[in-house]
Amino acid sequence: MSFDINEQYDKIYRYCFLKVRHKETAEDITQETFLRYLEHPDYKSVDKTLQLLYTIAGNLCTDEFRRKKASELSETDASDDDIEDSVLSGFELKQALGKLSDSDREIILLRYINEVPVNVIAKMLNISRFALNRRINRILTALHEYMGKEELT
Amino acid sequence: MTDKEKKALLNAFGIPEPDRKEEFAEEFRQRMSQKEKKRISPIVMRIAATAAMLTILAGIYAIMPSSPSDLDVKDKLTDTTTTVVYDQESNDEPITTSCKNITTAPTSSAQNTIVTKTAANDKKTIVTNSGTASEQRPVVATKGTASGGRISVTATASRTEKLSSKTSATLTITHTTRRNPTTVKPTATIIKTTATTANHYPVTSREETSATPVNPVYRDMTVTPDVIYTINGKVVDARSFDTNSNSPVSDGPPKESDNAPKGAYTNFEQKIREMFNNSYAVVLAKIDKIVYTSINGTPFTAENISVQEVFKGDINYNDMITVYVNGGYMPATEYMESHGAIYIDDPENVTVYDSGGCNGTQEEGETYLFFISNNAPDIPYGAFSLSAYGDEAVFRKRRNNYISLSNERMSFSTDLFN
Repeated sequence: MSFDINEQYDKIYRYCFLKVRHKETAEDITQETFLRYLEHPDYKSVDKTLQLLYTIAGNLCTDEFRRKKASELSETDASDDDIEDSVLSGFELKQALGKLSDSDREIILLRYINEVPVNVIAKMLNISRFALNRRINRILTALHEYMGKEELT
Repeated sequence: MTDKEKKALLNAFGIPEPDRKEEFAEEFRQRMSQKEKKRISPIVMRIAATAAMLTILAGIYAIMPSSPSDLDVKDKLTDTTTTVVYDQESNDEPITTSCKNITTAPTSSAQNTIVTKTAANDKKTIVTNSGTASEQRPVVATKGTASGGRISVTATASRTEKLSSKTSATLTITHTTRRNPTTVKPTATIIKTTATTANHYPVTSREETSATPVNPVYRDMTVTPDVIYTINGKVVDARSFDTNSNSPVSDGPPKESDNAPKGAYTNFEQKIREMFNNSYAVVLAKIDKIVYTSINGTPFTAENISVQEVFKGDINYNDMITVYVNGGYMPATEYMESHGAIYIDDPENVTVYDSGGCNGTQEEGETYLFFISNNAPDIPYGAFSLSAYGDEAVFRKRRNNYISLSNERMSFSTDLFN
């Protein structure tokens, strides 16, 4: 088993943050994910590494939701951001992302930022690769409509 | 997606940077190395055990006798055909005949000689290659003497070594028999010979008459899928099952609009360059055969292609490879098993077509430009897949341009690879 811990840490952390919306909690869950991964029987299997990491992270995030009250988790609100930062960082894109459902945002993060292979995401969501591709296309079409100009792919 | 777009998307998510990454990474590496060390010991033991076993086997092999007994030869015969003919002669006259191997042995001129003696009242028996008496052909000579009513029959032959693993072997036998003169009935020993060749990667010569570069040797690296489907009964498009969206379902990436700014085409060439860099190989090839199969319940099309031009990759002109393309035809019964939420009426008589994100159609006998990858998961060992989604990595050549199969409005010049 070999992967770059720095790269995968960032990816799992982003995934966890998107779910729990709390920086410290996301880091704790990320670290716990990697520690549990080391102890897992499939730790030696290169093919299952990514799927295993995201599965463990997803389960830990779900456990976190159950333990903590929703009010303790803060949402990142675009309107709280500095306007200048919003403009520089693509305000329209942020707005468009905000209109997506949580699961759709998660798919966009996994596919385009974390670059998780389609078959791994499909297994995580328990759907076929083609169903996932169709869903991704729908999300991109929706973003395209929200933003009205640029395409993401 | 370009790096710039990716960065913009990441910023749009508004995810802050983690604080404790470096220190955790260090701790994780230490834990991992400790875990690896613990794993080494069993591996070392296994290697040592394997080495000991191999040493024992080598010793046993060295001790074993090298040349097997001739009496056991019959069980080890691999292939020689012999015709035996017995001719009747008068009593007390020596009968001399000779037997020749009448099969065509490619490398050997060894002869089979069977010497027999027959009684006077023996009937003439002619045995052909197939072992039946059907035609009289004096192809076998026998030699022997009859004395005092007792006939001794001697058959002699010699054994030759197999010349190479890729050639046929000719084999003859030496043995002696004695028969009661009143009941003598010569028997024929028939051995068969066939030519054999190692058949994993046949090296074949082709004659090329066109102006294209001549490569006398090609490699057949095609892979046969474990399961192959045929199109039976009614065909249903998988898109008709998708009822979750309010907007029309579309497979494949969003297409370039007619009003796309000029920069979109430059972006397309940039995309082609990125796809070129990300591909294991880029080849112009002709599709020899298309079969429909599946991997883990997902329809795929396996295409055997013959390479005509190589722009990148460790593939040669004239090589034959298999490329797996998303999408294809699949029996409805199996499609339903892997797509639990879908129900199809009368599935035994229905075939499902799933485009897999492909917009164009590839046909046998046609030539296309393929950007292929060799590291896609789940693809059978030795086969390839496309480097991009759907058929974005397949192009049709038209004059001096390559036209995208995914979107015929997109194309690039053949000079792009120069």
